[in-house]
Amino acid sequence: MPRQFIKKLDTPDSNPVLSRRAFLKIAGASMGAAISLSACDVMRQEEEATRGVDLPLSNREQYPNVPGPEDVLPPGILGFFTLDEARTVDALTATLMPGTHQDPGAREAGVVFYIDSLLWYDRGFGTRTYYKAPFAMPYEGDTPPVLRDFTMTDILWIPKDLISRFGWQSILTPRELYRMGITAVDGFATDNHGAPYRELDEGQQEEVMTALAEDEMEPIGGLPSSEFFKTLRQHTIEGMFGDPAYRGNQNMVGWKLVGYPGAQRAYTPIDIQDEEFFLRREPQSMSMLHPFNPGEASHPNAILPVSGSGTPGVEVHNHYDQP
Amino acid sequence: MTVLHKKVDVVTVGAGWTSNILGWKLTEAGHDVVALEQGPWRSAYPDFAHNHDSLLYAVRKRMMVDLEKESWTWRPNKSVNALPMRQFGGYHPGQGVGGSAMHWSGMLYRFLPSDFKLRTHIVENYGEGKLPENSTIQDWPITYEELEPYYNLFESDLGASGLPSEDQPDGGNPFEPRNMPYPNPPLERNIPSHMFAEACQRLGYHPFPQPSGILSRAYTDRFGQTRSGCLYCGFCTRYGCEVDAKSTGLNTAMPLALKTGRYHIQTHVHVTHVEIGADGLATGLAYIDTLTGEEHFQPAELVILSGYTLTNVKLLLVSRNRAHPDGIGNDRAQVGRNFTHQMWYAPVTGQFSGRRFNLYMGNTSTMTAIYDFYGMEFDHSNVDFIGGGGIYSTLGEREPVTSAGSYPLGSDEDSELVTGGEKPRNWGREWKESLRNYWDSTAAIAIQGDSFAYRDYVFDLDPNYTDAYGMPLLRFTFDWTDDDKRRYRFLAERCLEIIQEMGADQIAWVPEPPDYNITAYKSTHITGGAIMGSNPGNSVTSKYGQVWDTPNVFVTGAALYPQNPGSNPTNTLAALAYMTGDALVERYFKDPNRLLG
Repeated sequence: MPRQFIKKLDTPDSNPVLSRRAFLKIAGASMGAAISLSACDVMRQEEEATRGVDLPLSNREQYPNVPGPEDVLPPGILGFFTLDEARTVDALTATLMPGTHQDPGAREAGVVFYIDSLLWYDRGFGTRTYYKAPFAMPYEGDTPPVLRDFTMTDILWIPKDLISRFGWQSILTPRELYRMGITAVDGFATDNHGAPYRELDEGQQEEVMTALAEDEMEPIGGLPSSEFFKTLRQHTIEGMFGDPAYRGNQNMVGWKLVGYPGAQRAYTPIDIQDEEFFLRREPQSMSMLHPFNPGEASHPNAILPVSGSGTPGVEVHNHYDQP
Repeated sequence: MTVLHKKVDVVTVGAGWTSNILGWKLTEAGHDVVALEQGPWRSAYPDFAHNHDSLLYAVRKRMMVDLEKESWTWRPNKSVNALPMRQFGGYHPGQGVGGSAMHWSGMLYRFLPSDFKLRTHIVENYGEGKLPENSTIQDWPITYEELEPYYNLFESDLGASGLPSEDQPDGGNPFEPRNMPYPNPPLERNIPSHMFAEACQRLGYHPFPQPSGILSRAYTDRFGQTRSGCLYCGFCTRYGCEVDAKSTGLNTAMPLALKTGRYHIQTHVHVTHVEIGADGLATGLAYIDTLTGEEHFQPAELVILSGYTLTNVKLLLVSRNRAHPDGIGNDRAQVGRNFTHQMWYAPVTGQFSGRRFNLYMGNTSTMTAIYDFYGMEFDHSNVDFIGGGGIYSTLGEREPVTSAGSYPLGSDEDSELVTGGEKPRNWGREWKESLRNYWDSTAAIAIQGDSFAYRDYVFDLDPNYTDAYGMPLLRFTFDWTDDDKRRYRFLAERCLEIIQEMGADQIAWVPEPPDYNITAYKSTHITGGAIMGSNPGNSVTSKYGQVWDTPNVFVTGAALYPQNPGSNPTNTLAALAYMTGDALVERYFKDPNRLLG
């Protein structure tokens, strides 16, 4: 059984979940399955403290045979990041998508918890990835350099100006990139502003973010620093706008920001033409989605075409029958 | 130790749509068919019952081929190393029963008569000099007229939605000759698609609602199978449909095949190669049970390569013996020729302040298209390129998780604001405010352009990378040519005129085509590699997909296309499968192993 410990934090400017409340951190990366009773009690408190957050289990409990989202950690638990790492990542996402309690951004959406869950699982690749050698090594000039003294069989030379056309080619896993990236950002922040990123003021954070985005920082793990910026931005999007079941987008604040109603069962042709529709339809997550039942209206405004309704004697409801 | 199975009449690679179609035709005629599918079984219920999960399906590509096991490599030219697509980018081949068509968009186009005789059309109208240098464009061995009855049957069986051109005033596609109306009316179109249609009419073009393989209303096919109409839920491309409104092999041909009791699907098996006898004919398919690692052999009279383009071309290249030392179909060095992809871009995006377009509703078929600049259908005397493309209004099914990255307008890497000025910052307050104010107030216009074949753009086997079963990865070499770039610039300017006519108050555009890459999605319309032709000297197969040098092997799908027209491949590959199915049943098995005339 892994060792557990509880940390208390009290820094007003960082993530309220990360700072204000008792914080559970379980040492080691392979702890997911084994959580003791006392840890469960803390988890329950955490869940209650984040009321309004959709927990991922309701559909699965109700419909065990229906595939649901991937396994994710409950809110408030860190599985991969150390607390300091989490606070730096939280601050980075808050620079990318700033917010306040009244006008939520990445911090209020819990994006850092989304990223933590993503990295917690396996190597941190959210998607299945071809991970076989050789890995690409960019070079400048007309011919690739000749390696002396030893033979590297696990690399392939690629002209530097072409490398971005091939997408992700690094041997680094997302876990490694984050560990190195956080160290690099905090190091750069400390060198230039005297404190790690999470402790800088907003203007200083924007300066560091600009340096990160525009490759003014040293390469990170052999990659231009903008690659870490792009990864952070992509994961901020996923944590801000993915379903709350994945621990980000808490209270669906990302969807409310843009006016997206989330997981709805159906829209009618009348809805499609109605520019005020977004004012009327409350967003819902997958866990709030009415269980699918052919022939049954899932929403008072939705008229479902009925499976099997083409059979003689059965009244057909479909949108062409509407005015 | 190889597990040897009982010999059957027919074995197919995968259980995708063309396997389903041929399986249905052949089993109804009394033949036993085994389909070897690398992915899982799935069906609308329960597998897609809770599918409104953008992260799992749209971002993490849950329905696609398992890249941990196999990928494909690409290089822009022959002087550099090729690298594998490590995560999904440029194209999205699927796996599992029903194949890639389970997550398709439903865009349902016929190729036009001029597409089928492309080379002749260009040479007769503009002379040999109009053909780009090093191009290997050739005519199809089949005409539109020959294929039309099969287009009609397929569209009828899947309940195509659309508007024939005689149904004015809105009008269907006037460039498409049809002798059959669509069985169902078009899907409802979104707001900017109506604006697009009106703008195009003012500009003198001929807008029409997107024809679709998604049912616009409940429909019963000629076999008594009934399915629901579209719910416009907004989770369509890259998702399975929870009400079966999206037509797939699984809800059209496959139930008919299964009903015979002679169509057997083996899931979770990976076909490694075609076994060839001393006489040069195929003897069956060798495969690995991916759950146990056990090797199997399924003997068959007839082998059908009905996988995705990349699968079929790879199997031809890796299946070798003394009779075919360079692979099946490759005795005259024809396999791998004429790789083509698709020029699918959105060259312009307009911002319409104060509007709410509801673009999260609907799907890729809830839009308007024009064919006024399609292929060789417009006069090319005064333009410096060949071909063209369909132009499309904004698609639906916009999800924030896959679209938020493109805000603010003009911040994308290759795009710029038409009014000029500095590139907006794509993070911080600018980003957030742009998403808040304009996420549902922007509309793009997209093109789907021709992709033509060139001598150097081919498939072969990669020397550096292997799949999980020890076989080399398939490699392709491809880049945009000068002709492609000129065609892009022409179409981008037309798109700009249309979005201006639509009244956008702020416009971003991509004036130069981005370099070809495998990171940004360009459609899953990879075509060629096992092209059909008039004789063994210019192709791998006949018009039936029958391999010239190994007549008991047939190929289906877009690998057969000599070059890729500027529209979607599914309708044509299904119509070809219908035609091949009839030829197999009526003629091939009466005198097996002979070339069909």
